[in-house]
Amino acid sequence: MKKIYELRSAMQNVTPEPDTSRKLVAIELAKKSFAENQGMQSAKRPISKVNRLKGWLAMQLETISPKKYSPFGLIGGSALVASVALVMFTPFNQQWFTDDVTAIPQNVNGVNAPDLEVTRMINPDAPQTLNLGLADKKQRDPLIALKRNTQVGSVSGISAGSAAISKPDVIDRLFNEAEVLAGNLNEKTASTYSKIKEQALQIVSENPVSTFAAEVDTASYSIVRSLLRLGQLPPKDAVRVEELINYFPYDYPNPVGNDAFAAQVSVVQTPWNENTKLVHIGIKGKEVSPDERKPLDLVFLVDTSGSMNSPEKLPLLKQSIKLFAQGLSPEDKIAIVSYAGSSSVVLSPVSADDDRAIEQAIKNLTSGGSTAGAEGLELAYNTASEMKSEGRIARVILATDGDFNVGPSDPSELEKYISSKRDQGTFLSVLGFGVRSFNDAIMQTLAEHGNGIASHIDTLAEAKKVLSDQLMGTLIPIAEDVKLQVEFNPEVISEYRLIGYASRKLNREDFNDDNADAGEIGSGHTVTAIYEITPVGSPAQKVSPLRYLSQPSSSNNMKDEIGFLSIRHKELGAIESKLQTKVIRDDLVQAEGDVAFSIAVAAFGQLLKGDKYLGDWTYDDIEELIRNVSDDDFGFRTELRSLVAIAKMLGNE
Amino acid sequence: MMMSEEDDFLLDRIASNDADAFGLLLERHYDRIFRIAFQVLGDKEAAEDVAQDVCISLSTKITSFDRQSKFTTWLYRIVKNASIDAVRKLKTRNRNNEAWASVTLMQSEAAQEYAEDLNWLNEIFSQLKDDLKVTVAFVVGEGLSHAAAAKILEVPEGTVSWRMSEVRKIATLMAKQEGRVS
Repeated sequence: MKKIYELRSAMQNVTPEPDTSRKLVAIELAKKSFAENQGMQSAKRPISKVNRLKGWLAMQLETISPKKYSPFGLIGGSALVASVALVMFTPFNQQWFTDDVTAIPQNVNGVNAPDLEVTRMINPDAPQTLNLGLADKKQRDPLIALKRNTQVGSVSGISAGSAAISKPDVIDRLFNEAEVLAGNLNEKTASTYSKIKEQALQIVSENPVSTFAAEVDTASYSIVRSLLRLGQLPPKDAVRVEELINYFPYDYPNPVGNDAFAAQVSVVQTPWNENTKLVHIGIKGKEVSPDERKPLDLVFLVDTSGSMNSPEKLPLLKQSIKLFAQGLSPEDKIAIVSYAGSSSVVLSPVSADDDRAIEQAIKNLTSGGSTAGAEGLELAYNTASEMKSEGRIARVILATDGDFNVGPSDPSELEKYISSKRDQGTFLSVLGFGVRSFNDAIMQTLAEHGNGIASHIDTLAEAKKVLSDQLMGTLIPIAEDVKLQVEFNPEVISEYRLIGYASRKLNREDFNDDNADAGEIGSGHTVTAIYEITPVGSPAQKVSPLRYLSQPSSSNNMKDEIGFLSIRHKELGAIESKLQTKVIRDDLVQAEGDVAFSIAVAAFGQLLKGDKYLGDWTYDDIEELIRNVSDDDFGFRTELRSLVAIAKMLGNE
Repeated sequence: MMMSEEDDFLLDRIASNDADAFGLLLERHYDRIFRIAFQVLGDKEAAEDVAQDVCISLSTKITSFDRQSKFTTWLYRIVKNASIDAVRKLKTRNRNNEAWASVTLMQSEAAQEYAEDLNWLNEIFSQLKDDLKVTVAFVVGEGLSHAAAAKILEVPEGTVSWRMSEVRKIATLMAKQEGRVS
């Protein structure tokens, strides 16, 4: 017998998905009708339009008054870390059939599960539907809409602009307040975005060696993109320049022979400072062809908690897994574990070509309840270890919005656990969903400890890129503990700074220490690192030379060498590392193609962060810089151009 | 509040005659419009029609939205009215068929899988008056609070609670009649 409280799930079960083509037709028709109407109105009554716009402006100013955003101010000391995301949502309570809901588990931190469920109707449908559009992309692209509006004319420009001015500030403030609040409670998990100190300028005579771990994470780019598309400048801490740079595919030369990597090093003029140069290092991992690779044992650990109940989260995740399964071969196996209040295996390991079983399992994933992340992780690892056999690659792929808030999810415990599993051969990758509630810091940390990457998915197109290119790349690792070290020649270079990689810095001695863990590189991955260097005697030198140390002790014959690049990596499962080296010569070349583009991305990232090293550079300069770079086949570069245009608009306000 | 903020952003654009922003606003809400219509009507085709009608009617109505209430509250009112109109039309068309789920739906693949759910819903919904169906769609289907549903339905909150208790009574009575009270 069905119970009355099952009414909801019954209704959800039988409610079909709307037909995509009918949806597009309806929206196109309505848009057309809207455009016609507006055209008629503005042609007839130009004056009333001005009045209406004034009205909107007034209303906007009301909307952004502090009162509306006060919930943050009201949260007491007992609020929990995870509520950072929740408090942005509405405070109303779910109350249907209240006598029947007692079974809904109470979150240990005091947040009612029903509150979580409310997010479902509050979250936007926009992200993934944007890219479903088969019609003219320009028409569907919100960026272009924005751009066009800035050119419409002074009246609408003022109105729309003024409304947007304060919004990014408000959002920024919300983030900061949320972080501060959370910080009172638990320093480690507090900040949604890890606070990263700007990589400081280094003086070669004092600190000639720069060491960092290779990095192929790209989550920061997706977050930046999502926020810009919503008309908000990203919080500075959400911008990790190296992740922006490494998001884009670069066609660096492939390694030859048995080398795991090829490094392409170019020295070019710094676009934003005529007295410094850039050392551009492009590293390419060897490509493993599909039939060469080992079969995969994959466990998807799917977060089905209430907070995932939003169109750009669970539904997008389901589509993503389907998409991914299609790219696997029959030798590969998939299992799915879901976790919410409790965790369960929803798909026991099956061959990746068992479409029906996979489809069925995915379909049955529904969200609700709290998030027992730690318990789910354990079940996923257990499932993975049951699947594991010789000659196969095992990996857990965690798909979540990062709302780990139930169970023993003390981050350091989780990290230890994930590290121990990594040492036993099961790695972890993280797919992040949701824009603002995505708990970036935890996801980054988990992936780093699990030798995987954290990717952020906000559209189906992005899912395709992440799953087929990046994730497949990480699933077929070619090297572990990849570290880079550059030693600068103090006779030639006085100062240097590494752009980005702030969270990936290693101690100098860690480079030769094979026990020091670093990043993993997958088949065909590229890593780009850019140094800004100041030649000795350049007017750009920030620190004056020291009187007693200014004379080099011995004059060596290496004046044509800027520095020396070393790359260390371990082959999979190896204990000892291998070393590749390359001399960086002072041969200035013209930046073009991939090099020029990645430098433009670096400049963009630094500007978003408000980096002081860019001097008086503006988004206009960045637009100029990428104007001359040719397009790629995938539209990534075009997309960056439009993001720069949005940032420019928001930044100028 | 996340959704309102993004709606607000788009509404600003729409105020300056941006048709793309209007399109985006529809994309954001289309699925929900469809879902509510379906839950009232129990018919996929008819729900697609309602969703389309709502979209097109919004192209003119949107400029008269005064932003005194939440956009979704205002939107849901339009969806509610369109759904009730449609359910009446549907009844006139299938004069003898009071069933909630259409024949095509019953034969669909999803129906096979959730046959039990579908039969049960059909039994309940065929006994509900239109205003009760709409209330169920918002409160149960969309998980709105009684207060939020009351705003959309433009009735006192108590009325929503009363309607939900009616639904529960009907379901309980149904169970009793079939001698399967749990």
